[in-house]
Amino acid sequence: MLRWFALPVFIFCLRSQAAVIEINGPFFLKEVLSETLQLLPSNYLDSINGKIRIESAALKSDQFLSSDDLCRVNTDVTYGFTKKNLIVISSRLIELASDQERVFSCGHKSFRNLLKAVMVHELTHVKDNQEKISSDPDFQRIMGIKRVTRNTRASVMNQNLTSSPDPYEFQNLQESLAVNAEYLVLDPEFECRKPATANYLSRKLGIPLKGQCEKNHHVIVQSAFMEDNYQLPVSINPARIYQIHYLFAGKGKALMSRWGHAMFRLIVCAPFRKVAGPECLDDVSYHLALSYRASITDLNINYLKGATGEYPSQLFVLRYLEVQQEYTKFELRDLFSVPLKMTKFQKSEFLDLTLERYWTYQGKYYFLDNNCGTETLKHLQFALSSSEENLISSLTPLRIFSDILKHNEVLADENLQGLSREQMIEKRFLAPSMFSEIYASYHFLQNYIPDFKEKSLESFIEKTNASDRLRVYESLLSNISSLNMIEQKQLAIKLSHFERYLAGRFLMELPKKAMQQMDKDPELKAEVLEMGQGLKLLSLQPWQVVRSRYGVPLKPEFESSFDSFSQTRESKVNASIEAQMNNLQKILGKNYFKKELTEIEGLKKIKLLTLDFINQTRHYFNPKEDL
Amino acid sequence: MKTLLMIGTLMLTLNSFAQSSIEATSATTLSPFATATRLMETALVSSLAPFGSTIATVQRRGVAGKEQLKDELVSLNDDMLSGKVKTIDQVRQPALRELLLEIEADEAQLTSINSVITEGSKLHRIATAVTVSLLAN
Repeated sequence: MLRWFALPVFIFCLRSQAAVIEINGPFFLKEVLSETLQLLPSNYLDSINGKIRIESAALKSDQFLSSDDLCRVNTDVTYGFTKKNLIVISSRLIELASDQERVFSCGHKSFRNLLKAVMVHELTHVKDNQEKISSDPDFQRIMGIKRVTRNTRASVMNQNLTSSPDPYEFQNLQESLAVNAEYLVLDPEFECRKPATANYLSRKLGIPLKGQCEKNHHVIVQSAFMEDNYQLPVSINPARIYQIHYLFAGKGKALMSRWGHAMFRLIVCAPFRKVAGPECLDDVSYHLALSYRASITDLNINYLKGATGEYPSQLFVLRYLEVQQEYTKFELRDLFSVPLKMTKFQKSEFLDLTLERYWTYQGKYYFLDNNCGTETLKHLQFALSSSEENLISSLTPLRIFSDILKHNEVLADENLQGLSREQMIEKRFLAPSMFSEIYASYHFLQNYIPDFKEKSLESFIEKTNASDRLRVYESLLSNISSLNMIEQKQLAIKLSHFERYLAGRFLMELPKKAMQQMDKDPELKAEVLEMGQGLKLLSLQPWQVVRSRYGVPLKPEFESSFDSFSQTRESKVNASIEAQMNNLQKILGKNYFKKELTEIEGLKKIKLLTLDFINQTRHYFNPKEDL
Repeated sequence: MKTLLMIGTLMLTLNSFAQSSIEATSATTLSPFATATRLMETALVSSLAPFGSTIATVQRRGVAGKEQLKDELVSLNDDMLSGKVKTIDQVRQPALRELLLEIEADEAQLTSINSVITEGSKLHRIATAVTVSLLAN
């Protein structure tokens, strides 16, 4: 305990920069400060008026610095602080840095490096006090704040401690700046682990990137289908991405869908393409959707929690076709895809932020003011120039869409103005709701089935049940011989299309029904909750699938971690599906679900009948005639 | 998201019957369906081997991608029956078009398909192989 008092104490000045730094502390402090200043650009402190004083002092939390194991230091320890131009550094830290040469696997890896980090951290505070970097809108957008503010003490929403180099960065914007500056200066891997932050700070602080690491551009595609979730790694290297689109789902029926849903679509090129060009627009199965959503682990959405930020807000990376199915088929919503005009640099910035968000971000979702619209807009505005970002002032997905169309010539890569709905479909700016296709099948069937009287498809669906439909189909097929071959084949096609939709829709409604009933029956609730447990595999976070030191995993981390995850994944998925089947059987065995079981039986019979019908019609097939 | 995930899983687990229904019924909507079912019924195992790479190509699309293909087969059938579409280039359904073009560009895959499906145009033969692949998974 006494040893650090034995260190010689000097007062001296350094003038390696424009600012004068006066040091009141041991000689060792000067030595480390000199080394630290060499890591900073010569103009780093140019903006500082007057002298900067650095002092060593015994701080209250020094008592927690008893361990000489860097990785076991209490996270609440204060190593230093800044008050205007005065920087105070823990004398205990100085002692440890002076005595300890051990290299650790965590944080800044040695006490000497930690001392340098504290210096960078505090000097950055002094710089920030003058230059207000932490209030820069782009910095705020990277860090993840609810709304861009002048208040640099505003808290940062990201609470993902696992992926952070130092959770102290989440304290507020000022600390975010200082912590990230430490790592930019001292950690050669930082620019690969937090590429958007590193690029931004490098430009803003004048600290050159080191170029000593290899960036890993991979994300692992997430999915609502267990067998596809975290199954496919995809590179979002800018060189393989032709365009970035604003992807907008029109308004839906649910409370939180009334303003539409805002997303992005990455036009990822198929691996066989040599260059990223317009042909990549055809590679739809490779395209990705980026979607900010509330990560909800409750079985039922709790609107109060949604209003108070208790659900995490995360960036999900999904296959574009899955998103198209979700909106155009299951929710019968239009899906607009507007190519954004971006320079090569902007595209790269956008994708760096995407990587960083995917691997590190877990903010707070507020249904009203930090939702898909605001998160998407902040992501986009980060990549746009300030004159471009001012063109989008709205926060709702629909209005963002309108603003992009309104300023089409600046923001969009194609001219969408004045296009009719049909033209938008033809040019693939719009994937329309599948309603008209399903309605066309229903309408076709109406010509043959007098019982299908409802004009509105929705009211038909509300009233119909499988047993009734089975009866009318049986009657129809018993008199089918009066129809010609082409008619019969068309009837089979439309009937199967329509029934496939009805079966899917019925199955989608089932979980909702189970949840509505579960509060009335503890036994049922237990079954439903147990099934929720079986879905844990779907709730995995990217940083749980691939472990990294922090931030975006580097290539070796990604490869070894994802390999070992993949090896056990399939058996876990199978076990989970089997467990859920058992749960589901128990749930459907309850009295409440007699009607649903009858419906399932009816659907099974319709399936058999449809297959039989298909077998009859196939004899009439003649490829030469058809083609 | 969780609700969506649950629904997805429920659809996977509960609809074992519906899946087969989906596969069989949607496939009928294609003109080449009859060729596909005939192949499947007459020489099930031996006839699937030449479609190995097509099955893998379809499988790579994931659950939702395959569903999209099945949905698009309905309107492709309409287009083929009305005579609007006779070649792969004319196919307007994006996911199907991509898949058909991908298979067309793969000579080895095309040769395998041609060894089994000998009648009809190139569009018909590839669409039949796709139908078989959707039936098979």
